[in-house]
Amino acid sequence: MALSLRSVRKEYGGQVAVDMITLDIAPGEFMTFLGPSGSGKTTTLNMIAGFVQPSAGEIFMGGREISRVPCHKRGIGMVFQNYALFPHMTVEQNVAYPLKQRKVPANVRRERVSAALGLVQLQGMERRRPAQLSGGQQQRVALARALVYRPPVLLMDEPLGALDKRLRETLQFEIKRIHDELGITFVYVTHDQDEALLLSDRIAVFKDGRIEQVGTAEDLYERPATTFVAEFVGDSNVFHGTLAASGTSVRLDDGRELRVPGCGASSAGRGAAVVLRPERARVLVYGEAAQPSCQRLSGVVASVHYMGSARRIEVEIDPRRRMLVKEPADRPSGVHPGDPVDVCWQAEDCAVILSDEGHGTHREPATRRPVSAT
Amino acid sequence: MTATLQAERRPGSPAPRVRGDSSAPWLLLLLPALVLLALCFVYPLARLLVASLQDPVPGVGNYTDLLRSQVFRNVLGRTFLTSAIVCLTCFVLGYPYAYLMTVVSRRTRSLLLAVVLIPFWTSLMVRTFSWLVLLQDNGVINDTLAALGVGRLELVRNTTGVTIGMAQVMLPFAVLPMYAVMQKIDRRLLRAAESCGAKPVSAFARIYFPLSLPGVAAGMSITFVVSLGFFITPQLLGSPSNAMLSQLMYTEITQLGKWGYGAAMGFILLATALIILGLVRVASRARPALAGGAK
Amino acid sequence: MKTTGNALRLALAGTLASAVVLGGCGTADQPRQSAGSLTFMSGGGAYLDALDEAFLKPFAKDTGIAVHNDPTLSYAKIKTMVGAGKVTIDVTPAEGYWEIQECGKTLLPLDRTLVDLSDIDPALIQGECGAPLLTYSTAIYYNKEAYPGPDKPVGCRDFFDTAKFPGKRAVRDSAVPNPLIECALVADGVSPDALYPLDLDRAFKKIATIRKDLVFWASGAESTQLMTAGEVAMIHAWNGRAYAAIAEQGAGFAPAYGEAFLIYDTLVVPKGVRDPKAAMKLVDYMLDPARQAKLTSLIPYSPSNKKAVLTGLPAPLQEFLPETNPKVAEGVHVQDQRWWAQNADEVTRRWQAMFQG
Ligand SMILES: Nc1ncnc2c1ncn2[C@@H]1O[C@H](COP(=O)(O)OP(=O)(O)O)[C@@H](O)[C@H]1O
Ligand SMILES: [Mg+2]
Repeated sequence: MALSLRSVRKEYGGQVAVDMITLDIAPGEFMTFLGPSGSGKTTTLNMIAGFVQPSAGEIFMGGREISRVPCHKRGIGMVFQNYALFPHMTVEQNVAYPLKQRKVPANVRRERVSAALGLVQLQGMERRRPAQLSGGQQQRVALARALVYRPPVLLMDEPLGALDKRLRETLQFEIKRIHDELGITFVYVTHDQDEALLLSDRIAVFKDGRIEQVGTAEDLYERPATTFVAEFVGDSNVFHGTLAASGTSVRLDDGRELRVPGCGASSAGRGAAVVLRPERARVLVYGEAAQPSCQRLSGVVASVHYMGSARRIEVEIDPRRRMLVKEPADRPSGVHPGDPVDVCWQAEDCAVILSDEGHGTHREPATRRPVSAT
Repeated sequence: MTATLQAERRPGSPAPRVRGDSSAPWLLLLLPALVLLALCFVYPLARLLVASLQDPVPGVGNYTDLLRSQVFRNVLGRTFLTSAIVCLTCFVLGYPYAYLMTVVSRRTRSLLLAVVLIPFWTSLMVRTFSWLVLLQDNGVINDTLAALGVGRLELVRNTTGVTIGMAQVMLPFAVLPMYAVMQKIDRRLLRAAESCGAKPVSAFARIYFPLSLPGVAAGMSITFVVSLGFFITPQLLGSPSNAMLSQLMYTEITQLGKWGYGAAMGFILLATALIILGLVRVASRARPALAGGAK
Repeated sequence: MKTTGNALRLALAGTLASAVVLGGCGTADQPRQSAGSLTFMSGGGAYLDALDEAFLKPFAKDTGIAVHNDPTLSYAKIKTMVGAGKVTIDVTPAEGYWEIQECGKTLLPLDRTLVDLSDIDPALIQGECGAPLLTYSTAIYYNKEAYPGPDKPVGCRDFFDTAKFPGKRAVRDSAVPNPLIECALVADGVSPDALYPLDLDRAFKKIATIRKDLVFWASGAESTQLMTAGEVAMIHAWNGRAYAAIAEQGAGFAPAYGEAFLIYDTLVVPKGVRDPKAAMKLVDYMLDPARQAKLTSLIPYSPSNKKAVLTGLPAPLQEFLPETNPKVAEGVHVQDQRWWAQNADEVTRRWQAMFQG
């Protein structure tokens, strides 16, 4: 079922928690709210669920305005980070609870509970109490409970936040599988960008109660709309400057000029940020020949870290700027801290963000450390 | 259990509790309390038991006399009934009060706590007399009711007065255990229930209330047992037809010097109270929610 | 191993501490009785203050024997002490019926060579172990607002006549020795001089006729409260308490001046006191007429000594005492504590059956 938020706003005693959010979620879509803690994800989700009344704006579900409909009448499934299982009920009773509320006959109820537990691979645990289950098992029960009455929309608020990494990955795939199997709308909250990239059809990036950008994982990674998105989703090197008259290069504050994919001369003179993903750059030993089209900056290796799949190399371009480069780890690096090197990349691998376009563009000083992985 | 599920068991998850030597030395820490209990409680109790079987003549005469006495049976029944009424009153007043304490701000909570603890700060005698002055036929409350055109009510020297006076004394004993349990209940469970389609009232009744039952059971047990021994309050705020067993015991022991008879009364009261509490425990075992659901 | 040692040490220390605390409980009362001193037990409060000022402090001054106060009077406690052979009090005032019940069992017979009863009102000398100290009476007082007409309640007959004098009546919430029994018989036509032995069947039958109009007070303070708040139409109250309510607190009540029943507190010495002679000396000291007169000026009780001359009492108080108001004296009858001592159990059973059952 489609969900639609129209200029939704929530204030707590003058403090704005969610600010004018407008968002359309297609039927059957896996939509993820991604953003740092306190950015308004939960509040937005709770407004959809009906736990929180919006201060302004409208929420539509399947074309019907629901912002005044009480939670228990919305028929939306919900999974909480702390599982929120009823401790005094068995697994079976927990999962049957929504069906009881809907006065589903006992025989049908038994079947549906069994099917739901099958869906989350928890058969045989019916008589246990939540306290007798591991965290992962509890979250499966919570998932079964939220899905047992076949809601058209399932909301999940950091459902895997309390689990360890291995378990989280297992469950991520299960959630993805269940979404594919059921074909209903999922709205998923996380602050983990890897999880968001892995699971979602589309991602809405939250910051300070607003949505910075909505798009597919690729949109966000390749074409970040703001420097915040660029830095929050994946690692990046960001250079702030001004778009040159030609529209094909950005003049940095320190006078250097970086070639960029053409932006059109009409935008010339506007503030611009150049975003370069670390795996799109290479480190060349000082003086090593490179393709002539290569954009290069010279510096000194500050550190080299072997990460298993990649090698992270930090290069100090000048005392106020460092660049991050990721190289495949399968070939020897040949550079060591202290070595003079060149960092080199293709201009078309950069993204340009014009600073007074869209809202929420970074206004911090141009000189920053590269954002490390969150 | 399947292998995948086995793998999911986290280190912190429940495993069979290890009973071993490590806990034995710490049990010794109970020793001082046990000695104190033995000397200050068990010993006098044993003395009383002996008295009830020896004074004035050896045998169970005191017990048979008592069980034959209509007055004793009536007063015993009334003692339990009064305690039950006080218990119920404390529940009706205390439950919402304890609940309120879990939802208000820190400051308001301290204030609510102070209000309910007031009985501990004033002498029982003074407090009971104040109730008398408030509740009597020409008292403040009745004057107000009369001025409002409601008419005067008989609020004192009857069961109403006894219940009011005793409930005020017992309220903290009911509120504090209930608050202690409620404060640990995860309120997000209510949201979870609503998201499952439960009306707020139903969510409270089916989720919150069962989880609060251990506190209710604790509070009610204490209230009930302590109420059984009330003396001054029923005498001052009730009439002789509200007399409780402790008043009868007082008369026997101090006025008539019949130690054995009074002691036997005490033992029958104790035994009956233990049986009732035992039944409550058995009942709460049967209902797992009482046995401890809240985490 | 380490934890075992710690736990053991802690446990031992705690056990020792509790033993010390308990030892303290057990012996707390003992050191009070040093040589050459006496301990006087009473109910405390204003009564103790008055006794202290009128008798105990002067006694210490005159004889050099210090008198300690134990304000926790309880008959059960005295019996326990005597039974256990650890008597830590020497003299206490008791009600007449109890003195007779316990005389020879818990209490020492008076040493008449040391205690001179010759000036004591003979009507009060009912037992062998007590020296009557003071008297007070239970009389009828009525609410002036309840009966504004010319007809006022006079005595027991009116107290039991709810047709002529409707309204609630307050009586003491205690069976023994409640003069409501005597009052009922008088109301039923028995002459106040021919009451004993009390006909309990007849008395309780009479009481049953006003059962639903009865209200009960449990303490003297509560009886005062009933009068000052005007809660009842009539009350059977102690004269000292009625004086406090009417004269000192302005309660709208007046004395009925009909039959009143006089009881007394009597000084007793428990068996097993360390120095019976010294205790008897204190008893005798407290019978002195001048000191008894002084007591009445401190608290509204009447002296037991016929020679006590009550002077300088406030006029309102004089109205309430039989010694100073002939109208009161006329109605007063001394309650027979010997009968009550013998029948306390029986009255209690009947009383409980009627009111508490
Ligand atoms: N009940 C509330 N009362 C006051 N402020 C709140 C409340 N709930 C959330 N907020 C505030 O709203 C903002 C957004 O919170 P939230 O939606 O929980 O963020 P997120 O889920 O993204 O971490 C935060 O600043 C938070 O402090
Ligand atoms: Mg959140």
